[in-house]
Amino acid sequence: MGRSKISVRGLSKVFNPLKGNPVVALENVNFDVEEGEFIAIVGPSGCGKSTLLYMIAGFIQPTKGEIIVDGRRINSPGPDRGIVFQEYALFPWLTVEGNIKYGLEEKGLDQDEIDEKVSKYIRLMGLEGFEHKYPKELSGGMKQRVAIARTLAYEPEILLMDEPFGALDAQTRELLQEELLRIWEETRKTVLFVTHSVDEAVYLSQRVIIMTCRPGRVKNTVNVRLDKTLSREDVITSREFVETRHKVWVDVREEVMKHYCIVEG
Amino acid sequence: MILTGELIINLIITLFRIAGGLFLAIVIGISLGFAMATKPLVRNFFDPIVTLTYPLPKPALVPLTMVWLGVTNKAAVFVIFLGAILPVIINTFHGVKSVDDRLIWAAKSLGTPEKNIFWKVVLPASTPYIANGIRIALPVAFIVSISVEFVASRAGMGNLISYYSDFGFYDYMFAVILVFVLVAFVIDRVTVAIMERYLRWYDGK
Amino acid sequence: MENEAFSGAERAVSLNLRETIGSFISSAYSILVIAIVWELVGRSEIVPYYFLPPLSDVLRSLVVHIADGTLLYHTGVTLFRAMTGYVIASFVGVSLGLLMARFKSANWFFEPIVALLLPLPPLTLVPAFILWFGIGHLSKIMMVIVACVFIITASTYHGVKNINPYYVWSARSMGTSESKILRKVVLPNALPFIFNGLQVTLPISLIAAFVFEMVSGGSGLGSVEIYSARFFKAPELYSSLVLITLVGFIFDRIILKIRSRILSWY
Ligand SMILES: Nc1ncnc2c1ncn2[C@@H]1O[C@H](COP(=O)(O)OP(=O)(O)OP(=O)(O)O)[C@@H](O)[C@H]1O
Ligand SMILES: [Mg+2]
Repeated sequence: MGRSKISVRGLSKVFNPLKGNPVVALENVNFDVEEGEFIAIVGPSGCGKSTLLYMIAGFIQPTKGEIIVDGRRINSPGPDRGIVFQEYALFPWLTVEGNIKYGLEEKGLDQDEIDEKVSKYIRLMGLEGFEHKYPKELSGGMKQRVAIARTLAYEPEILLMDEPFGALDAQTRELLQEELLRIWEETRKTVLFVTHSVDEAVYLSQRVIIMTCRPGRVKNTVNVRLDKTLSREDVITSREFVETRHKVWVDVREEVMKHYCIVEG
Repeated sequence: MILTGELIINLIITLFRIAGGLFLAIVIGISLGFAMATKPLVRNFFDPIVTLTYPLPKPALVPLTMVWLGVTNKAAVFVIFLGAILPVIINTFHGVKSVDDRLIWAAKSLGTPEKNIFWKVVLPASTPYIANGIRIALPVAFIVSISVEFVASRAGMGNLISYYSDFGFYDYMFAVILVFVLVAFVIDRVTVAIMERYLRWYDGK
Repeated sequence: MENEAFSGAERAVSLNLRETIGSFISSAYSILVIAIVWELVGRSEIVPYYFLPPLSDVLRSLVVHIADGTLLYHTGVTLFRAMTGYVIASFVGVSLGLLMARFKSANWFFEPIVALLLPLPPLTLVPAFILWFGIGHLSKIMMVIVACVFIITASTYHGVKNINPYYVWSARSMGTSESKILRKVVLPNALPFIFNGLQVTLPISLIAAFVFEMVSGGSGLGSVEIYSARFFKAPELYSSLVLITLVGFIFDRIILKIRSRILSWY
């Protein structure tokens, strides 16, 4: 195996270490991601999934450990890593089009190229007719699509996605899952995909990382070997899918139950 | 006829004073509010000053600027500036403080360098707050300008009102009051309309 | 943030109280620096005495004039005018607002009046009020009332109209009588809005009385300050400024206290 695209080593994160109540969000997290790999991360709420993505994106610094991307230790955001936030984080003062354009303009592309890309991703995400709307005028699902379009249009090598389909209705969600898979097959980007849905994790990814409840650690990694050339229908009824899904589900359930035990004392 | 000529000249004088004082208050207020929100040193210095001067009824500064700068345009502009700057500072401060971290992060990961974050994210994100500060500052500027012109000015609408009243031209006095009230009303409406136009995107939460 | 209260007072407090007290020592130094610079500049002869007397002279004048009763008298006069007007404006404003919200005819009659008078900068009327009501207490109290009453009316009206009809329906369906609905449902829900109006107008009452006193002379802190300025009595000028700031500060605290006491559930 060659050099990993992303390498997470001994990563820990403590919030408020000096103030009253320190929160250990992550503790000694280790994993590697190969170039072009699609990884799903699942785990109970509050186990530090978002925190993990934020550190890989370079927004916040680890308390201990390091993150290596392309052989370099990262400590700041970079154009190689694009992120789709859990709650969209669209620029409210820009229209749909303005939001998607933003990164392209920062990149310094020429106007024709920008226009072409913007209309491509507007079409891809089914946002036609909403180009000149402001985020406040959109439903949650629409906003989420704009956020995805904004990041995809920027074409980063690594896609960090924090529950990107969480706000979508089931039908749109399936459509966009397939769209994401198609884009991934086409471009072979490295994807880190956080989700609460075990089905979604197994359906999309090549490998599912299951995290423990807080402090988040890697509990288990499950490889997924599905024939992605099949239709959705065939995939989700295949024995492979059902078995893998069960394996992941058992692990996740164990952690979620533990979480409840902690909460209830 | 005499009335119209005097009225227009004095109205222009008053509006210029208000515009000057407000302009300074907005530019300096935004800068200071931003500096206070981002630099603890600046904040620690100005915070107690803001606390102490906030409850001061701003027209009470009129006699002070009168002593400092005499009965001049400069004094009028300065006291309007002093009256109007606090709401701008306070609202800018809160606007900058309430900018969602993730917007800044999103911009950074979409290629915006640190040095442009202020113009690209922080300023646009806090415009609703700044606009609110300006809206609060506007009537304060009017009140202070009228006060300073009543007691320490040789021109302006306030001066004209008290002049006519001193000499018993009450009909003229009421005419001037009416015009001033109308102008203030129109300016307020126009400001609100402009703000609503440019803040269409803001969802008010 | 939730209650949308963009009122400056509340903002100033959250900017200051909550966050400053913790770091008071580290930040209050600016006051100290200003005090020292003030004293030094005042003592040196860089600026004329009437421009900036040393802080110590100001404080001495403050103490002397408080001790001999003059400043207290004038403060009392200003407070009397502001408070009397404010209390009247509160009663009239709240009643008018409730009336307008409950009775269509009252609304029909008063709405245009309030809409016209609300944005009016009331202080332009000072000379007119001198003409109508003289230069004694009455004219100032009237000015305070006019400056405050419509804001209170508008916020009360707004508060009553903004009530979620669901509350009224559910109260009705539980058999609450109409007068009880007003007391038990409508008023408590309008209270935060009414308080916003009362909070915004408290400093306005002070400003109205003060400016009027500056213009008309006679007694009160406003006239003390303007006389001191006209006759270049710098220590008196500064000490009346300190005093009026103090009054404003106390007003601000009082209304916040009352607000947090009464609206603790909100
Ligand atoms: N800035 C912060 N300061 C203090 N604690 C924080 C901060 N950010 C996150 N935390 C805490 O760290 C833990 C992990 O948070 P994180 O948002 O990463 O969880 P998550 O796995 O993404 O949860 P969810 O599935 O609900 O999105 C939580 O307990 C959270 O309360
Ligand atoms: Mg999360």
